Amino acid sequence: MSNVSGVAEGTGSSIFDLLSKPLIGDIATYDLLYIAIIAIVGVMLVRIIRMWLKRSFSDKMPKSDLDLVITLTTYLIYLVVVLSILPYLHFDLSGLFVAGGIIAVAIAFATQNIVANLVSGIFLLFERPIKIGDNISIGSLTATVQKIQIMSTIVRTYDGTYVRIPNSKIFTSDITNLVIHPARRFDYTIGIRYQDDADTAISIIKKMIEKEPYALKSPGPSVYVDKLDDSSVNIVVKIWAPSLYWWGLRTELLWKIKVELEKNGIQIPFPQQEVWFNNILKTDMKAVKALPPIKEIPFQGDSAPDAEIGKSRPGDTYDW
Amino acid sequence: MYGKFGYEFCVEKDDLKVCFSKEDDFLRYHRNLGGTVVERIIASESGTVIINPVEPLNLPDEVTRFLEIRFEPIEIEPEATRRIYLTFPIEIAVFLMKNDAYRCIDIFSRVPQKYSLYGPTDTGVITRYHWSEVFLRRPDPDPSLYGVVELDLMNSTKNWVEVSRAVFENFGMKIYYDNDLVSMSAGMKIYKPMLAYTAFEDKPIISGMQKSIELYYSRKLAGVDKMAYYSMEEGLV
Repeated sequence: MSNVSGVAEGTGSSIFDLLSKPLIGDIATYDLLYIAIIAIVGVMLVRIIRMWLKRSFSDKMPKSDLDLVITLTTYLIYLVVVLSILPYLHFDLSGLFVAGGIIAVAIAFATQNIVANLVSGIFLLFERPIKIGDNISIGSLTATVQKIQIMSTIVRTYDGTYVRIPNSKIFTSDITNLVIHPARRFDYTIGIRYQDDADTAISIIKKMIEKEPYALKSPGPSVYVDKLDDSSVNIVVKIWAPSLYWWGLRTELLWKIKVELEKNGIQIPFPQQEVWFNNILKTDMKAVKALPPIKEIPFQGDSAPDAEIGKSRPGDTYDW
Repeated sequence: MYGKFGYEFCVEKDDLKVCFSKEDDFLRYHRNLGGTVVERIIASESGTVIINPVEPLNLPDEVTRFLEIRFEPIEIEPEATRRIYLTFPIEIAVFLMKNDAYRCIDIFSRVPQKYSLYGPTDTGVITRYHWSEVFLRRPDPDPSLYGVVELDLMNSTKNWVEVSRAVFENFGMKIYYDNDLVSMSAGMKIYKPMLAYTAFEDKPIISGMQKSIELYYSRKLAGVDKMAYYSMEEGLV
């Protein structure tokens, strides 16, 4: 009996000795085991909490808010994991204070762009000038926000292109958020002939606007004569619409107004200029003969007798 | 025109025609409203079709959660309660129901839609706009066009207050209907000249009316039960 326990003790102490034996510096095998266990538990915890947050809150809070919560929670858990692992690495934190200054300067120079992006990302997440789904303009880029990450923001341009913008660039740029307010205004300038009645035109335009669901009742539209221009009387139309629907309204309504004005005999004039000749040469204008009529030359480009002018055939291309 | 139907029927009213017809193992839904035709093919052997008015916040798109009814200004004396009747626009939904599962297959309206903004352009909310005459007794509008809101105005302040608009949130809109009337029962409690709370009551204005399927409950939106009232913080005029 005593032999068995002695063997067991011997085996136990030898395993303990083996585990306690330093492998890398002061780090022993059991330190590595603890590190591995903490890391695995940490990763699993992150996955479980991320999944739980998504399942529990995906229908209760906006996606952008949920993404922010998930990102912050993930980083917090990783921070706790790293701090828990440090003692097993026999990492003397006080040493950092000594070398900290030099290392910090070196790291700062080496990673200033990364840090700038990271800090900008954190500020963007908290300040929230943009959120997922917003239509934004940054510099010459106009796009829809797809994802706000800790280092960069992913946007999709209106022609479907993927663009990754570093957060530091976004943070230091002028951001125009096109949809952050519930309503926005757009304008038209519609020119009518001098001989047309501006009051009638304004009345027609107002009726057309009234028929449009997305042209807001309040704030109401403004329609007024803005300028007596060279060739036209300019009527300015200012309409408020829901931010998410203004573009559709803007593109549809202008043509409807044009058609309706023309139906009522009001036309949109071409630019024109009247030129008066003083006739200082005292020419007898009666003696000036009229120009001969212009002859119409038949189209001769197609030799096919049955070819119809203006009718396209397979393979035809046109330079518009 | 509202109610429960089997799988083969036709309902007609003025320029509106709604039909369900059987074609082999399928159903064909056909709706014609003023020349605008919508058709759906449905794979179902048996079930129920329900046509009822729903929250008027779905056309031409789901733009907002808020219905704003504007009316002639009413001056209310301090600490007084008065009942008025207003109209609201009707949107009609067609549901298919099998056991407890139902699905909305079409929404249409005979009333043109108009939207507005309640509050300033930066912090306000987009609303479905409707102008109503103020009725002191219950009106009888065409139930396929307009419904009736029985609105209790409660001025809890010690001052005269002017009211000319009521803004309601879609969650909790309780619509009741019968063949002659579509109705909602609501209240507006005024706390300050610029602040009031609006809410719906879950009761018909005439007994015996049928309750409509609530579209926003059927979509299972979050927080439905918690948002039964709306606080009008941008003024009552």
